[in-house]
Amino acid sequence: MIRIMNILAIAALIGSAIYAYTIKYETIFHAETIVKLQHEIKSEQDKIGVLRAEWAHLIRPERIQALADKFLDLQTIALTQIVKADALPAKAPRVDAIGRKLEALGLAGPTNTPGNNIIDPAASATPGR
Amino acid sequence: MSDGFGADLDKEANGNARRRAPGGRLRTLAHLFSGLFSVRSEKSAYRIRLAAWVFLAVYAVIAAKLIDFGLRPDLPQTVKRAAADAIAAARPDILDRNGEILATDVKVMSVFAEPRRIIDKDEAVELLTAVLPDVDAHELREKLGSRKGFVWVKRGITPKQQQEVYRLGLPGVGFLPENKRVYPNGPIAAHVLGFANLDGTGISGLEKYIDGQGLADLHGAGFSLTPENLQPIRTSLDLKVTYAVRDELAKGIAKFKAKAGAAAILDVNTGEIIGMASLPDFDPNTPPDPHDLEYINRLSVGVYEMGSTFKAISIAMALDLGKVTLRSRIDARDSLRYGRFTIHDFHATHRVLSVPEVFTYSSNIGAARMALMAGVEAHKAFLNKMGQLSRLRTELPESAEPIVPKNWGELNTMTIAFGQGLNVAPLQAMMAVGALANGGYLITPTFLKRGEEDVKTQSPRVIKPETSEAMRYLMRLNAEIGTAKIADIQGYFVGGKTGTADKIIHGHYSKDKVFTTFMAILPADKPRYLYLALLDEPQGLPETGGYHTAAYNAGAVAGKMIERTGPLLGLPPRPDLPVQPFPLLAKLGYAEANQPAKGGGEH
Repeated sequence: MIRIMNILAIAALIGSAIYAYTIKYETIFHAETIVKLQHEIKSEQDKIGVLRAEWAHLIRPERIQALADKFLDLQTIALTQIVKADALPAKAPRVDAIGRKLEALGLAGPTNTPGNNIIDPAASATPGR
Repeated sequence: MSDGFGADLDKEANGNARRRAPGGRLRTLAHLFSGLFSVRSEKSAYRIRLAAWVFLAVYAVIAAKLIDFGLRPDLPQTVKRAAADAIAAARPDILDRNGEILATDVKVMSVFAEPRRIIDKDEAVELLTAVLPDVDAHELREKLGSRKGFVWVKRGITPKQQQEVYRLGLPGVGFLPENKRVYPNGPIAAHVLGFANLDGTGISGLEKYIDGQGLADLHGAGFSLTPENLQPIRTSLDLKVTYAVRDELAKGIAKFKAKAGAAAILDVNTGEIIGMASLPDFDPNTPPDPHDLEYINRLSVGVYEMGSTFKAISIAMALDLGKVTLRSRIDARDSLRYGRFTIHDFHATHRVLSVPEVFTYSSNIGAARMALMAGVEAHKAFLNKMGQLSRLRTELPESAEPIVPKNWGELNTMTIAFGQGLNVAPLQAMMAVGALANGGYLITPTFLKRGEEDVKTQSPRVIKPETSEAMRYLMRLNAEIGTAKIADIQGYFVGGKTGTADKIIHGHYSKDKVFTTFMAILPADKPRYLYLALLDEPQGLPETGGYHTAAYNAGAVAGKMIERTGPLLGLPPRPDLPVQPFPLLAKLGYAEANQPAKGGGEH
């Protein structure tokens, strides 16, 4: 009985030692990961800083104006072009421009297909033979 | 197992018993041991003493070692330690009022060397200069020959150069990341920002101001500050507005062939400088020699005779002291004589002028007479109250003392009334005109963002609200029918005042070299911004009829600035004139102030 207790005690001792060591090594591993990540974060932050500076350099008004003058067909806004919202004209009645064009083409009217047997040379679109 | 342990103990006990049997030295030793391990009570005191001595000895060794560490003067200094003092310190970002970056830090690599660890110094110099061509070989040899533990080889190298230096494989040569200050916008707002040197110390402008706020002390005390724990500095400048101001000023200087110029926009209610430029300027990324007078900030370091702009202050004084009212009439029929001096009018009218006419005709005689009505002492006191006689201090470390006449007599009062004989910094004059416009509060200009609350309660009132409104009316009238017509941008209800000062060349007022200024407030009924444009030695052009007075050049520049920056500042243009822009004046019986002035002709 006592022998079993001893064996158990030794086993518990070895087990707890192994467990403690595992914990210790895991801790070291995690600590190293943290340091590594911190370094990575630092380097990312440095990169962000560089990119921010670069972005600010690229969107500096001087450059944007030069580019706009070169590539855009725009002119400086005149003060007369700025009006209050209530100075805008009332909304015009809605116009269906495409529908009107289609109407002008006469597509809505009865069509003269050969199958209709109504021979109307004036309305026929194809030159008659 | 437990039996085994017990058996071992038994054996040891037996052994001790056996060793005790033969006499001699062994016996004494055994006696000592038995004393040590015995459990008899009379022996325990001895054991405790022994243990105490052992511990005491151990502690004594530790203490001795500590003292040794403390006293040893020449600890082997690690590179990291040496570098911590040498590398450029982190600085906070500087942002504009909308959060755009004006100055920031980027990480760069720098090459350093430890001369003590370099074996062949000549070879090292040869290899390093081959890879880094802009390093001076002679200087580097000298540096490596020194007995220092740490020297810089080159700071701020490119990644490619870093690779090449790395491949050289020199012992005692390494890299360290450093902070480098960059100004992405180049010369825009350069005078406000100033610049920092390679070590991260502010040399001028806001950079120096930041150091003065305790940053330098923190670095000096060894706190390594990272950009993350530094609060960015928010300036009052608006990047886009500042750019527009600089652009229009540069165009104006080119057009009128001026030597130099400056322009600024001041928020009259908070004292914030929204935009400013002083040309010629510099790129803070490649700063010039700080002692080069060519690149001074002409708004705060240059002091100038502000010319007729000062008439606004003189008239405000006469109105505020009750010496005149808007209806008073001033005799300007003849030139004003004082001893051997005579004061003429540039736009001579040879008649009796009303107070508004004195302003719109920019009459020297009228202004001089009004200042005389107040008297020398009152004039001096008023200018002092307006902050014109003492140095204006803002966040910028660079400032200049105004040049005040030593013996201030009646003649001085007369000339200063129309802006001659007193040199002030333009920013100072802006502060005063801002006070004339904003209802009478003298607000110290600032380059840092500031809220509107508290500013007015903390700032001293220098003139009555009625006087301020009368000045706004006069400036508005001047833009409608007077000299400031060129800057009357439709929709902004601008008020303005021109100023043309003859420059002093060799002690005499020059006839053809002038210094022109223009100040505009908008909108004149509820002022928000004060614009200043000044040009140094502008030339007359054929389209200005050969005139080089302020109305034609500085006024034109200010007009362009207003037109361009108004929308950027969020000011909606008003198609109609305000119905009653000057209610206080109407209450005082000047109903005509609220009617738009017509005609008046050219003056």
